[in-house]
Amino acid sequence: MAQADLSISTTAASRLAVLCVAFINGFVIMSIELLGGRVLAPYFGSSVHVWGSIIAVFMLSLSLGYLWGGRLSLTNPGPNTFIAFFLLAALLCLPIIFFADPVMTQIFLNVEDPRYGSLITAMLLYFAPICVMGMVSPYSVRLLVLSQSESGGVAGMLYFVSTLGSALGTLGTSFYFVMWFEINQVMWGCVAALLACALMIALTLGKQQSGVRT
Amino acid sequence: MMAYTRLSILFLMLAFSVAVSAQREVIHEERSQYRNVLVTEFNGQRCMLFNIHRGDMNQTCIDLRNPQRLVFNYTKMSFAGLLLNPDPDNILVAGLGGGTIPMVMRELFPEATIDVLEVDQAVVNVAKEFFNYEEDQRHQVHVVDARVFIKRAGLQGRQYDYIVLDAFSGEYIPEHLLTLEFLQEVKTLLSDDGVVVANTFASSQLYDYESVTYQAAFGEFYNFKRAGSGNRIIIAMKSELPPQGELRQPARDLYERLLPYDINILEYPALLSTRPDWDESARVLTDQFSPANLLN
Repeated sequence: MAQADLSISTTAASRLAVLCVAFINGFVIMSIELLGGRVLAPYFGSSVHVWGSIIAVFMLSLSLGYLWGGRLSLTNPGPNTFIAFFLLAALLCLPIIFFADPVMTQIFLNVEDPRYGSLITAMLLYFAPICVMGMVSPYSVRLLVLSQSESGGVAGMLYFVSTLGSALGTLGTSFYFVMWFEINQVMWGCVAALLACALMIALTLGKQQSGVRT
Repeated sequence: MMAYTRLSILFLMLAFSVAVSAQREVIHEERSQYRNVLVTEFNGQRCMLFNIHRGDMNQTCIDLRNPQRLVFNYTKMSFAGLLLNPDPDNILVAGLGGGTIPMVMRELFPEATIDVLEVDQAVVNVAKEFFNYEEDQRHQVHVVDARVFIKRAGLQGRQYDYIVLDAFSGEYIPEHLLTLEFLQEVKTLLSDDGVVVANTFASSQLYDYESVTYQAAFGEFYNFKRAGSGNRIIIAMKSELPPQGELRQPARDLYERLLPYDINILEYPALLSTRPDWDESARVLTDQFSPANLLN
C-alpha cells in the first residue's frame, strides 16, 4: 500500500461526512450524560456522588471505547463497521428510554447506599451505548488519515470537532432542551441523530467504496 | 448615556455589597461537598449563609438575645399547618438549615418522633455547633437526599402527620423535589389527617408551574402569602381541606403556645386562600419535565 493513500474516505463529501458525524456523536454523548443526572435523580437524588457516578461511568465507557475502536480500525477498516457503530449505539440507547425505571426500581430495592445504587445504575444503562460511541473517534481518524505525516493534524481536527459537539450538546441540553422537551423526547432525538449519522456515512462513504472497487 | 447609567448602577451595587459584607462578621466557614457554609454575626443576629456574594442569602438566622424568637416570616409561617393538625405524633422535616423548625417542634411536641433530612453534612455540623441544634432519642437527622429517604420510607409504609418541605435555597432548586412524582411519594407518607407544609416561591415563572404541580398532586391547597415576603407557604392535606372558618378555633388554642416564638397564629387563618391566583394552564412539572432552575 502506498504511503500516500492510507485513507478510506477520499472524496471531499465523504471527509466532510466523517467530521460531521464526529460532531454529532460528541453532541449526543454529552446530551445523554446531562440527561443521565435527571434520569437517576428520582431514585438516587442529585447529590454530588450521583454526578460522580455518571461522570465516572461515561469516562470509563469512553476510554474503553477509544481502545477497542482503535483496535478495530487496524483490521480491515471500512465504512460498514463505522455504520454499524451508529446503528448499534442507537439500539443500545433504547433501554435508557424503555427500561430505566424498572432497572432503577430493582436497584433501589436492593442497594441501600445511593452512591453504589447510582454507580450500578449508570453502568447498566450507559456503559454499552457510550462505549460504542467512544469507538467512533479513533475509527474516524483511521478513515480520514491520508498519510502518516498528516495523522496528527487529522486527529487534532477530529478532537476539535467532536469536543466542540460535546460542548454544544452540554449547553443545548442544559439551557434549552430540558425546558422544551421531556427527557425521553430528547433521548429519541439522540437516537434519531445516531441513525442519521449511519445514513450519512452509508450515502457518502458506502457509495465511494463501491466506486473504488470497480 | 445608557452605558454611564449602567456603570453607576453597577458601582452602587458594588459599594452596597462591600458595605454589607463589611458590617457582617464571618465567624465560621465550614467546607462542604456542595458549597461553603458560612456563619455570620451582625446586629445581634447569627446567620447561616450558603453564598455571601449575593448580599443577603441567609438560610437561617437566630436572635442571639432572644434565641426562642423566630427571625424569618417563612419559618413562622411553616407552623400554620398546625391549624389543620394541631397535635402531630410523627414529624418529617426535609431541609435542616440551622435546625430552627425541628427544635421548635421538639419543644412544642416533646413526645413526637421527628425525622430531619439534610443532604449536606456540613450544614448539620454548623447547625449543631452554632445554632444549638440537638438530636435526641426520638429526633434524628439523616444525611441523605430527601427524595431517596422519602421514596424508601414510602416503600416501608411509614406515615407522618406533619411534613415540612424546606429544602430549597434561594438560587438553586433541587428539581427532583418539585415534581408530581415526588409530591405523590410525599402524599403516600401522609397519615389520614397528615399535613404537608412547603416553603416555596412567590415570584418568578416558577410560581405557576409549581402551583399546578401541587394542584395535580393534592387537589385544592391553602396558599399562604404575606406582603413583603418573597416566600409563600403551601399547605396541603391527604384528605380534603377543612373550611377556612374552622381554623379559627385551633388558632385560638395554639396562640399562647406559639407566642414565645413570635408566631401570631391568630392572624393566619384569614391569610390562607384556596383561590388560584396563578396561570392554571401552566405545565405540570414531572420527573420527565422539570426545568425549575430555568424558570426561576
